[in-house]
Amino acid sequence: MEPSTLISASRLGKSVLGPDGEIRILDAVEMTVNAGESIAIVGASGSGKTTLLGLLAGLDLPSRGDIHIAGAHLNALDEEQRAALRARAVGFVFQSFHLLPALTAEENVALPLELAGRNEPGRAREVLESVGLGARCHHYPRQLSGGEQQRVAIARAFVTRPRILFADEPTGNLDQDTGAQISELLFTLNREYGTTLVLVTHDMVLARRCARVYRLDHGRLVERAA
Amino acid sequence: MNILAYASRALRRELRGGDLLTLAAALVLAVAVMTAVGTLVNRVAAAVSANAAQIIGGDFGFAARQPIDPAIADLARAQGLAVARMLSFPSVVFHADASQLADIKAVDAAYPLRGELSASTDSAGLAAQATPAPAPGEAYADARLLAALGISPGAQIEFGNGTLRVSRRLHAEPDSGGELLQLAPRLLVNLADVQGSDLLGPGSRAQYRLMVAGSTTQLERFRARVRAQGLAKGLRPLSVQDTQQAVRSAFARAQGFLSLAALLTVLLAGVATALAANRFALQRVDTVAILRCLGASQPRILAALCLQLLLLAIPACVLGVGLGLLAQAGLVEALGSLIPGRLPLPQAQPALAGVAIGVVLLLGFALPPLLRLRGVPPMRVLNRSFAALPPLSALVYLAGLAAAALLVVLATRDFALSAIVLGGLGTLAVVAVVFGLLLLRLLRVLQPHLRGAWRLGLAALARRRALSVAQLVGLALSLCALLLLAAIGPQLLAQWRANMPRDTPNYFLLNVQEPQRDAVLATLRELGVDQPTLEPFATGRLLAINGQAPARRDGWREANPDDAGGRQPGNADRPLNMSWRHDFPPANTLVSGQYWAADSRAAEVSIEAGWAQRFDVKLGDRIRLGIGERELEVTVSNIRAADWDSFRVNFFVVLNAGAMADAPHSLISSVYLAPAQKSELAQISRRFPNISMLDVDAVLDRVREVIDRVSQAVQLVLAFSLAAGVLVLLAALQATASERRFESAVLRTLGAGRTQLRAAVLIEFAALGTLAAVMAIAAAAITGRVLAERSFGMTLNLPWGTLLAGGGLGVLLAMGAGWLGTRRILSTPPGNALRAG
Repeated sequence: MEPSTLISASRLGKSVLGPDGEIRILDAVEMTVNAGESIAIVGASGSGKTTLLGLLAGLDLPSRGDIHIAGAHLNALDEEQRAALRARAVGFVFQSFHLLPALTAEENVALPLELAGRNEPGRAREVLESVGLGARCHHYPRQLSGGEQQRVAIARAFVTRPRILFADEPTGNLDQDTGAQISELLFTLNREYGTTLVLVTHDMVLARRCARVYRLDHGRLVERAA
Repeated sequence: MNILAYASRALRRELRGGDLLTLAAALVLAVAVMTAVGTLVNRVAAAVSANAAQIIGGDFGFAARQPIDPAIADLARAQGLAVARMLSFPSVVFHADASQLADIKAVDAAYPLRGELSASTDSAGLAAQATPAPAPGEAYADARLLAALGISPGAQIEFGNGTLRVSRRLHAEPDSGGELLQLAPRLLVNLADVQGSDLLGPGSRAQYRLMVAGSTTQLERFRARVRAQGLAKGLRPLSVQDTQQAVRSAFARAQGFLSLAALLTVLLAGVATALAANRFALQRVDTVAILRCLGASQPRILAALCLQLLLLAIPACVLGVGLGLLAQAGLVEALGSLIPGRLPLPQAQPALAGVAIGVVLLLGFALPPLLRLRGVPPMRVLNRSFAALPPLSALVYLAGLAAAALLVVLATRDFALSAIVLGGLGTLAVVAVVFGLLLLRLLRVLQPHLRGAWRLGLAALARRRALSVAQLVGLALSLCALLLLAAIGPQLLAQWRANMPRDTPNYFLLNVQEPQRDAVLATLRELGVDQPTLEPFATGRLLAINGQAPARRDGWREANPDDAGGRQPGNADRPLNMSWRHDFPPANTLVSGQYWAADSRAAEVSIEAGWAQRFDVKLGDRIRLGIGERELEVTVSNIRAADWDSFRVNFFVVLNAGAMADAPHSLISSVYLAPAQKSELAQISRRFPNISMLDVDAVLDRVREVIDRVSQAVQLVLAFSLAAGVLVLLAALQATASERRFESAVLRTLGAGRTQLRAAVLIEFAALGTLAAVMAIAAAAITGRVLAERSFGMTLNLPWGTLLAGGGLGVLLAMGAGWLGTRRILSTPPGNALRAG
């Protein structure tokens, strides 16, 4: 892996066993992402985008091939070590927000700091204010709109200043205007924090804002110009 | 992640969800019921242990049917022991025209050696204080006797051929043996007044007692001397241990019922905990996946979840202990005189056992579903099709069940009862799983032929395969437990209380002498007794069986060096009551052998089946008996079963009258007297002062009172069980609530009306409830039968009406709960439910 390469996948494959035998979801995927770069992965439904994101983020293990992320060989780590790596270096934004319903907005944002063992009082509130939700610190997720929930999720993703941010359809559950605001916020913060962004989306407008765009077609990855 | 902070925050928020409240309520109930019953049992045991010396009125003593050799008293005094002599027997006392059968206790001045006699000079008993034994010519009567004779302290009563002045009202005597054992009202008199009366003829029902008190060393030396000099022959030792056992056994049946109710409550609470914890875990799947995705380690996530349960369990246990202590105060009140003397303050140990049950429920039933969360893949945050929870091994729950059962057994100390109930419910759970799966298979076959609400309702059952089976098991178990408590329990109590037939003898006349035979029979005829009979009655000794010293097979009495004979374990050299006659005794059935001919003079004996079994006696065995100075050997020619419930005079040993010649004996009779004629019995007492009368009605009344008190106490515990049963029902409903909400939303979006959806839910719950009810009724009937026979020594007449009504009510409850649970779901706009997913 080159010194500036933050994520690399080689000969990556993922298969599952279906009723009629093995189904290849990903096949011989080769990919590198450099530090500070933003890339988008696009493709039709069922093309394997989310599976690829899960593998790159260390949420799942490949059937074949190797993944390196932030200098660590993911295949060689057990689940606990991968979790520690995620706490240390990775942030996530999901399509369905995935905020913890039992925690307030501020508590949700503070959670990754606690998990990483970092004591930074006021940091969560500061990030919430930066996404425009300073007044909503003590609200619970169900008391927030979809756009607000996604902003809390973005604040949670950036609170630890992660080196890599994985975003899975971050505007998929939002209307066009809110989606545009969220997308703006995501790229602003990405620039501000110098984070490496890996984005999975159907939205070509959003994809085009990334430096590179990969297209997944029947499990195979094809790079195309942004 | 600050685990404690996270756990407390999450707990605060999630309490509203319902699952945790169900779980907490189950814990409160289990802890409360265990604390209540455990504390009661513990306090009674402690009271019995602490007051045993008071209960027998000394540290050690002897009882006998004949006067006790004065040499024993001399020996005790020589060892420096205090000695008291007592004598008790039933007799009728008179005041003007009033008469009353009383339990006479005659004591000397040294009485009581342990504890205090409490009496007062006023009839209201306001000035009760420690009082010495009555002086000669004086007597203390208890409130019942004062009331029965219509007198107050200061009155004169006729006693035998003399008179006594009732100087005080008796409040408490230390050696009453607990009110349970005392049937007739008490009259305490001085020993000298009895010895000078004509009340104690040969063969009277008097019991003589000699009690001693002193240091352990003195007692041991005394016992050794008595043994060495062979003075204890024919005497029954009265030890503290024996008395403890006797009082405990009086309390044992009440304890049995309470233990049953407690056991069922704990098991129901366990089922409710398991169902609630399972749903709690299912709802935490996404949270755990997110936390895993954000980098939380497995141990931290599990620690947070466990801590959440612990934070819930601590107040639940505290509340349970408080509620349990309150409930046990209610139990003490309900059991009243069944409980001996004053109880010590509640100890910590039963409350701790209650808390331990709570912890076991938590660990055994709530922890396993949480542990499954370890396996939640973080990838679930991106793709919900990733497995939610791995299947749970039944072994884990079995371990929890076993631990809970063990604790209940330890706390209630009733292994047989626990084993029967657990076995019954365990079998029911397995059968419910099998039948549940069969029902689902049948529904699959039927489904294409069904229409409308039937199809929707039954399809829902078939679709939620695992949950439907879990609901069925939960419903069947809770319904069975409630049927055991609400139908079988009362039936057991009712049978225990069962009234005798109208003409069942209600009086025994004892100690009638042969010269009085004709006069007594004539008096009885005058009283309207139809064909009165008098049967010979002799108290002898069993000397040998086939030339060997007799030994009880069941080892009923442990070897006791003070016991009469004291030769081997389970020795049988105790007084043995027997009779003789020519014809086959009524209220008996011949089991084997042949009864002798009416004119036979053969030395034969007829043995009661239970007695034959205890002493391992078979047809043809030779039995040597001692009656007075005479010894005789007889052959067992037949074995018969006696109907003891007939309340007729019955004997274990009946000899051939033709072979008895002039053996010393008295006569005994059992008669039925209508309540109106009872007062006329006084005629017999006046004419024949030596005759003792035993009032069976008083015994039955006392038994009924005992049962009523036990019933009250059981009902109190039953309230906990019912609450636990309702919890199971709620937990079973909650188990499918979220799925039901989503499905209803989809169906309503597609145009299904509320009526259709409600009908579908009712059909679904009616199907589940009916199958559960049928299985629960069968299991309750079988368990009840076994329980009655093995644990309570009764044959249960199954209350089919109540069982069926209970089952029907269970079905309606299930349907009602389904209806109510669905009401909220149906009132949620479908859009909201669909978004919540």
